[in-house]
Amino acid sequence: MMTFSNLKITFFLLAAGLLLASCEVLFFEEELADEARNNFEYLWQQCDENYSFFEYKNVNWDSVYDAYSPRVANGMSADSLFRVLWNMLNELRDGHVNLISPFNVSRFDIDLLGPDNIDFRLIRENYLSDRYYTNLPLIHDFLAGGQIAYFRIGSFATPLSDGDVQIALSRYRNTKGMILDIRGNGGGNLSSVFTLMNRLSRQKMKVYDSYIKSGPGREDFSGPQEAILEPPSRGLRYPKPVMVLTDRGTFSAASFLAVMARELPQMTLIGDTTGGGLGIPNGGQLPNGWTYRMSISRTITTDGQNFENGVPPDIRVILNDDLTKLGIDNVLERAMAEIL
Amino acid sequence: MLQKIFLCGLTWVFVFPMIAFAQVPQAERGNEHFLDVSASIGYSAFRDQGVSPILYQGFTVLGGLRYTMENELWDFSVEGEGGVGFYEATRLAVYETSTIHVGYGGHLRRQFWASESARLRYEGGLRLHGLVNVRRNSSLFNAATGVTNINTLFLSNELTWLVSHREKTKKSGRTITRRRPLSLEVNIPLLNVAWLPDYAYITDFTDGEPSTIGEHKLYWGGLRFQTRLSYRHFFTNGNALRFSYVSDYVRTSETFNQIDFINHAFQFSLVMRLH
Repeated sequence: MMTFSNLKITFFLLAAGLLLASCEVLFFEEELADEARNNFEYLWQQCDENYSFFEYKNVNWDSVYDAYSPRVANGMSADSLFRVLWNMLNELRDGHVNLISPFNVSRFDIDLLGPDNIDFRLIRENYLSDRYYTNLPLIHDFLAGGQIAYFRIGSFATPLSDGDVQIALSRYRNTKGMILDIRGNGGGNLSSVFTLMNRLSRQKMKVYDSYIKSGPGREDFSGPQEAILEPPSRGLRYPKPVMVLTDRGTFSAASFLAVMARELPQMTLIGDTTGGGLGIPNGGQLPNGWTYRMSISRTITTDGQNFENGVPPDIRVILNDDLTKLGIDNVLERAMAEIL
Repeated sequence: MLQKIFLCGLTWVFVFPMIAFAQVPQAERGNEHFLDVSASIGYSAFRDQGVSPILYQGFTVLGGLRYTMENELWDFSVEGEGGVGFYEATRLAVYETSTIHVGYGGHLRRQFWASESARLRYEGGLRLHGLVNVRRNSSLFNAATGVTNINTLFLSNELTWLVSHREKTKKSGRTITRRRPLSLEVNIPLLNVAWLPDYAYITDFTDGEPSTIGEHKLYWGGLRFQTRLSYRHFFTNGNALRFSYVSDYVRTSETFNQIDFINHAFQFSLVMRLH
């Protein structure tokens, strides 16, 4: 049976244990309240400390604050706040900057900066056979009586495996060259680009340098980190001429492919300037739960150029409306002529 | 310098016991060895300020093993645990994040004081505990996965009260003991070090793949505080059941990527006497 002192000590230990276990308020800061002003300030600050292209794009972010801050007041509707934040983010003119709420996603339509440079139905109806091969994200077929391999990649959102690349390449090993059509490719998985380009490269080489944000200052970047293409020692390779077709819709991972193509002597860029998007985007969350992403790195080519606003083509060709009515893709025709 | 102190503490916790136990053969109560198998569930809150100011709340389920060796003077243990946590935050929508936890550590404590009846005693020493936390929140794009590792060297204190203590001699002549100790363990941080993602929360992607742990950095400082209120019910065969209320507060140094973690758990353990 417990004595009185036994009870007292037991009670003391229990009370002390529970008291100590409840002292978390001494350790942790309170959450930022979910108010419009807090969300605005937080997002502006995150951009201020993390976005990587203020100087390159000549954006005065402090002036952006002055312009948008008066438009935000606590108590405004979620939709109104979203619109203000969307407009503020679009001052960065960056397709890699988005705000994601449960009811909308902000965007900057980089592809609208140039003409649509592809009509894939035109190609299917006039250039490809009825039974062209599909192994997503890859669509491929012979052109010019079997002399040219046509590879169409509309998106890198679906990963491209090395096995898929080798199987496709094995079909075209006797062609004179390849047309790699990435017009309208909005990007996706950058590792797929390396998978493909390693098989198309002739030798190990550096293709660009990356610099990643390493602090809140405008020029706080780590790096360079070298991006290397290296032909695999085993398996099929395709070192023949490759014409890469691009347009303003060629963005992000597809633009990285264009940067690599500039470095490879057997590759030629044909079409329109790409949409850029060479800053790797990274994400975060606002106090109200909405998420955002923004570019947090820079990509510099081996000759020191920053193509964030777009990789220019070697040969500029814009899709001709009059010719398309006749069933002719003049961008594709130019690429075929370069190979033949 | 801090690294040296930390390594010394680590050595003290894990190497010194061998020397210490070798030097106490004269202790009246011989060395006792126990293996605890435990399961716990509790309320948790988690915030990774590198990517979100929101304190996610939910529950964590953990399973663990602990080896303990103790005698009248010394108490030594090594332990490991693993489990998962599911947390959410409700705003205009419900946002979710999950974590995988792996914990490891141990302590070495010496008895410094006991009451005349030996029913109340105090142990003090060092405790080392590490926590690996893999956070997954798919809405955070390239920062969807965050791996953190937090290690703390504590000044470990335990006050134990024998709520009930009986000795009985069986017909066979063997003396059996029934003990029911209630303990309060309080661990105060001496050194805290966290291995956290670098500034951009995304690292080497030159091969096209961001590396989750490519360029983490060590951050010294922060706070960590652990308490354990436990009640052990020993059976006559030396095995026991243990019911514990465990709390753990973690706050890494005040940087852009500060991690906050709170865990309040009820733990149930089967304590098996090894010989």
